[in-house]
Amino acid sequence: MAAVSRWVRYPIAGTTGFSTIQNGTRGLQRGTANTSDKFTIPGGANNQMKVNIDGAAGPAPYQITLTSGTDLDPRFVARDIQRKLQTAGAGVNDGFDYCQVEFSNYKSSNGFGQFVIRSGTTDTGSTVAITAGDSSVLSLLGLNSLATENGTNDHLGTSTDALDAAYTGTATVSGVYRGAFDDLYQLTIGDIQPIGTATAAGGNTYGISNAGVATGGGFWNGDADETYTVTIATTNGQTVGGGTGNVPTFTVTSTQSDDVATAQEILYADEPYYIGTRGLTISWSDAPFGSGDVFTVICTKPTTVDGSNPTGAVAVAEYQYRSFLGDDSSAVTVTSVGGTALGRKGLTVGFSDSGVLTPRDEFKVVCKGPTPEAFGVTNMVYGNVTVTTESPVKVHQFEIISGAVDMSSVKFSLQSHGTFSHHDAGDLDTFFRYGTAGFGNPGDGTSNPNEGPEWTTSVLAADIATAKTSGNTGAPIHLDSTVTDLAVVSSADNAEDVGNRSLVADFVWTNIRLGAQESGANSSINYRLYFDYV
Amino acid sequence: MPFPLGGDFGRVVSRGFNVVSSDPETDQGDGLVYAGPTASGSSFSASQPPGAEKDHPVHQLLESVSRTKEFYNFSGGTTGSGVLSKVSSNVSSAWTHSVVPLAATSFWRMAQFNPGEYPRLPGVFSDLFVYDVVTSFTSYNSRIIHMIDTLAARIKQAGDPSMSGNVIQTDYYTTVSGQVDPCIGDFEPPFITYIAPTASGLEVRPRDQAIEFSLSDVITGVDISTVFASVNSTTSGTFSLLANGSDQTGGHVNVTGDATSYNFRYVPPFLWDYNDIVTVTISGSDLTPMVGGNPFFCTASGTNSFTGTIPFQVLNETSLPASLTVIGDTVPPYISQAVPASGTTGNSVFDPVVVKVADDLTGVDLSTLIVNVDSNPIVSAGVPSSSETVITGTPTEYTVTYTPTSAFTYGSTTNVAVSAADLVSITAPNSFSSLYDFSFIEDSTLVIENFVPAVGTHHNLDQLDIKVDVRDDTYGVDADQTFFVINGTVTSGTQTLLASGIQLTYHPPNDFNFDEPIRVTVHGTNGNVSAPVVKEAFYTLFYGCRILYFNDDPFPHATNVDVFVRARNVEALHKDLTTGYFFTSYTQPSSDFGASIEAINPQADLPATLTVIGPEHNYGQTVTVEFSVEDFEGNLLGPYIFTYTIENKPD
Repeated sequence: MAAVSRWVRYPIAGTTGFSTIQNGTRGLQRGTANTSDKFTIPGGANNQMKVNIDGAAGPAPYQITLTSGTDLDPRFVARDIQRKLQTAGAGVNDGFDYCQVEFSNYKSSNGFGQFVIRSGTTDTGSTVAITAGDSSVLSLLGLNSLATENGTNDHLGTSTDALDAAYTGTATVSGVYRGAFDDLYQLTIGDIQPIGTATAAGGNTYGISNAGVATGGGFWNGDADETYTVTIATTNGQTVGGGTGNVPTFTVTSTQSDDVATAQEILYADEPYYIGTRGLTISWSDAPFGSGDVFTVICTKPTTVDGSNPTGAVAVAEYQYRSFLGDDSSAVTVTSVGGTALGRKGLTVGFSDSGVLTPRDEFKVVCKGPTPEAFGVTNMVYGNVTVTTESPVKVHQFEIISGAVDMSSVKFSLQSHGTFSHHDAGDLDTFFRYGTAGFGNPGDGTSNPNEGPEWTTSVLAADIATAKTSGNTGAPIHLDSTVTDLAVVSSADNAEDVGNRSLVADFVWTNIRLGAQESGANSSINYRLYFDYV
Repeated sequence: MPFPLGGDFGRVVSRGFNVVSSDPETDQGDGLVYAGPTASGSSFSASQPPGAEKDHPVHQLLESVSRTKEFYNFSGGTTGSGVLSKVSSNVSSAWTHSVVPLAATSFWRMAQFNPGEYPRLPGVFSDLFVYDVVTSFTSYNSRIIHMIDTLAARIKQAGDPSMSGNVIQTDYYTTVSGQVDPCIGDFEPPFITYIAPTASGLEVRPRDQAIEFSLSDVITGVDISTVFASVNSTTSGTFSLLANGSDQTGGHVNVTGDATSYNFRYVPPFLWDYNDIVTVTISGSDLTPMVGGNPFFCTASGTNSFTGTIPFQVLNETSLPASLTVIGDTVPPYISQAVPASGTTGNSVFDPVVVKVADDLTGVDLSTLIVNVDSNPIVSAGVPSSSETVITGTPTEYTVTYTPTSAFTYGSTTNVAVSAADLVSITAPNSFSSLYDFSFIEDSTLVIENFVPAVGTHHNLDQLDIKVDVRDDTYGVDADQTFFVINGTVTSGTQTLLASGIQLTYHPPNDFNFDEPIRVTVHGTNGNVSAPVVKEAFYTLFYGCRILYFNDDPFPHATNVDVFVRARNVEALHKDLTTGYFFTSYTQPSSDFGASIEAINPQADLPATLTVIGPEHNYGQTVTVEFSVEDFEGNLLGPYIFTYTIENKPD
C-alpha cells in the first residue's frame, strides 16, 4: 500500500499557547459506532460536521469541512478535526481554543478506536455537542452514535474534588510552551509518582522474550491504591500495525474493579491506550506479543504532600507532573511561589502562598502547539531575494495521512540546487541553510522525545547559519541540528536526519543565502525527503 | 484466484468433453444446445435438458442467430488449410473459413471463427472453434463443434445420419449414445495464487518489504525442483532467491506447502534502499502430465512452464520544490562616509581626509578604486600613491585616509573625486563616481613666535628651557589646546599669560639623549569657540659641540676640552649634518665621545667643538684625542692629535 503524504507549512512567527490552570474533568463527546481504522472522506459531500463547545452562543455550533482522502489515518483525521475546530472557534472560548480530538479506545464499548472530542476546559460548564453538518460526515466516522460526558470538578473516575478546598491560593502557569503538538499536562500534589511502571509478566513474549517496552502513563489519580492487570490476546494478530481485525487486543482487570471486558485493539505502536476509565494509559513499542501476555501497573494514592505531612503549604508540598504525550517528571518537585518546571517544554508553575495543599490535588494545563498556515504545500516560495542576503526562513513539516501506520528514518536533503551556479562552486557564495527540531529530536542537545524544545517562534537565518550536529548542546540550543550549507546529494545516506512522532515528522527550517554573483529571474531548487513506513 | 502478472500464466482447463444432444423442437433458436457441467467423465449416455445453459452469456448472445439450417462442410485434408463451406440448399452462399490443423495430430481440424467474420456471431467470439472429426471417428457419427469461451469447453455434436463427409449441421440434433473419451491431461502450467507485494504495477513499498508468492498446480502439481526466483534491484543488483527450489539466501527464504501449492517468503536481511526498483522473476514447471482417454484425442504434451515477475518500488521519498526570484546587484558602490563631509566649511587644515566607499551586496572591487584630492591621485587602481594614504577595510567597505605632510591652506577649498565599481561579474559591474568638495577655515591672527632657543644659539642642557609665545590678538588663545609636542610626547609645560596669549615654557626634567635631535611641535589654538583655528610650528634642535656639557662627578665643574675644527669641503655635499662627520678614533676605550658635530653651513666652513669628557677621566690625567673628519666621498681630513691634561682634584 502506498503511503500518501503531504507538506504542511507553518508561519515562521507561529506561536504556541497554554490555558490557565484547570481542575476537574473535561466535557467530551465520543463516537461509539466506529469499527474501522481507515476513513475515506469524500471531497464533495459527506464531509462536514458541526460542533459546539462549552455552550457557545451563536453563530456556534461551527461547521467544519474535513480534509478529503481515501483510507485516511484516523490520527490524521483527529488532528484535522482538532485544527479546524480550534480555528473555527478561535477566540470564542477556551473550550474551542484548547479543544483536543483523539482517536482512542477511551471507554470504547466495542474495542475499536473511536473519535473523542474534548473541550479545552474543565468543570461543570465544559461540554461538547456534535451534530450533523450540511453534508454529514458523522456516519463515516462512527460519530452517528455518541456518548456524552459533561465536565466536572472531580478527579477522573471519582466524585471527589480535584482540588481540595483547603488550598485557597492560585496556581499560575507561565513561560512559553515549546511543544510541537497539543498536549495536556497534569500536576498532582504528593510525594510519590502515582503511576508505576508497566511490568511484563515473567512468562511474556513481549518484554521478556523480546525487547518490547510497555510504558505506563496518563493521569490516574484515584482515591485508593489500585493494581491493573492487562492481558493480551493475539487471536487476530501478534503485532500492531496490521489494521483493525489483525492486531493484538487486551482486556483489563483492576483491584478496584475498573475492568475492561471488551477486547481493545492495539492498533499502533507508541500510542497511549486507555487502561480502565481513571486515566491510566499504556503505550507499547513495536514488538510481537504472545498470547496471554500480561502487564501489571500499580497505581498508588499519595497520602502525604512531602513524605511526612498530610497537608502542606507552598514550599512544603511536593508535586509530580505528567503529560498525555509522555512528558513525565522523573522526580517530585517542591512547590514554590516563584515557579518550578511543569514539563520540559518551557512552562513553569507557581503557587500563591495561601492555604494548604493536599495529596491528590490536581491542576491541569492544556497546551497548544503552533498552528499551520497551509496544507498540501507543493512549492516553497522564498519570494524576492537580493544577492548576498538571506532569504526569509521557511518552516515546513512532513506528514503521512494514509497508507501507513508508522514512519521512521526520515531524512531531508537538497536534491538539486537548480539554476544556482554559485553553490559549491568553490567560492561558497550561495548557501542552502537547514535546521530541524521537533518531538522526535528536540533541541537542547538531548535528542530524546519530551526532553527539550520542539518549536521556536521566529527562527532566524542566523540560527541556521551555523552547523550543529544532532545531540550537540551548542548553539542554536533551540534546534536539534543545523547545516550551514546543504550539499546536493542523491542518496538518503547523505541526507540529514529528521525526527518524527508516528506519522508526523519534525519541523524543518530552511532558507537560502544568495551569493553575490547569482542571477536569474526565477530560480528553483528541489528539496527531497526520504522516509520509511510500515 | 490468479493475479494478473507480467507473464502469461494461462489457466487450467480440463479437456474432458461435455457431449450434448438436442431435439429440434426444443432448440433454443440458435441451433445450439449446451450441456451442464456434469459430463466431465469419460462416458455419456443421456442428454442434458435443452437450454441448461441458456443463461450463459454465450448462449444469450447466440440467441440472436437465425434458426435457418446451415450446413458446413470441411474440405481439405487432415493437415493444412481448407475451407469450411456452407453446403445446405437453403443457404445462399458459402461461408468459408480457413481450416487450422491441430498441432500434433491429424485427427482434428479446426476452424476458428475470428471476430466479426461470421456476421451472426458477435465479434467477441474470438475463441469459437469448430472441430471436425475425421472418418476414423465416424463410428460415432459425430461432428463436433468445440466451443471454448473464457470459462469452459463445450462440445456440440451434429448427428444427422443423412449427412456424410465432413459436414456440420447446426440446426438440429439427435440424441447420441455412445462414448467419447475425454482427453484428460495437464495442459496448463502452475500459476501463482498469491503475491506480495501485489504486481499490478510498481507498488510503493516500505524498506523492509518481504517478498511472498505461492505456486499452485492442481492437476499434476508443482515440480519444486524447477522453481527459480531471482531479484533484480536497481541499487542492490541481481541475486538469486531460489535455484532448483533451494534457498540461495542463506536461510532467508522460507518454503512451505506441497506440490499442490508451495508458499515462498523471502525476508531480506537488509533494508531496501530508498527509491529502489525491485523486480522478482519467478519460473517453474509442473510435474509430468497425466494423459488419458481416447488415444485419437489425447496425446501427451510436455510439462508446462511459466515465468512471471513481481515488480515493486521502494519509493519512500517526496519532493518539495522551492523557488525564489533573484534580485541581482544593480546598486553601485557608494560613499558611506566622508570627513570632512561634502560641502562643509571651516574644516581644520590639519585634519586628514577620510572617505569610505561601500557596497552592500557584492562589495567594492578595490582594483577600480580611484581617489583624487585636488586632482592629485592619492589612490590609483586601489593602490595608495604615497605613504600619506592608507587603505583599510574589506570589499564591504574600504576606508581611505589621506594625511598630507603639509597642512592644507587656510581658507582654501579642496575637492575629492572618488570612483569605484562593484564585484558583479555575471553582468557588467555597477560603477559610480563622485566629486565633492569642502573648505578650510580662514586664517586668523593666531601667531606662534619667539621660539627659544633661537637659531644659531648654543645652550647647556640643564639650562635648556624651550619657550615660545602663542598669541591671538582677536580671540585670545585656548590654553587647554595649546601645548608642546616634544619628541612625540604632548606636554603643556608651564604657561605664562601674555597680553593676548600665553608663553609656553618647557624645562626638560632629564637630559636629552645626545644621539637624537629634539623635535618640537608647537600646537596652538585660538579662542574662537565657533570655529577655532589651530596652527602648529615645528622646530628641530640639534646637538652641537658648542652646546656645553656639564658632567656630574667626577667633574663637579668644567673641565672640558674645546676643540675647534674648521673643515672645508667644496667638492662634495654633505648628506646629513649628523652623520657626515664623525670621529674615527679615540684613545679612550669609551665609545661615547660625548660630543657631536654641528654644521652651520655644510657648504662653508664647518666649525665644530669637541667636548670630550667621560667618566673614565681622572683628575690630573693626560688625555690624547685623535680626531679626524671624513665625508661621504671618502675624503679624510686629519687625523689631528690633541693632548690635554685634566686638572688636579681641587681641595
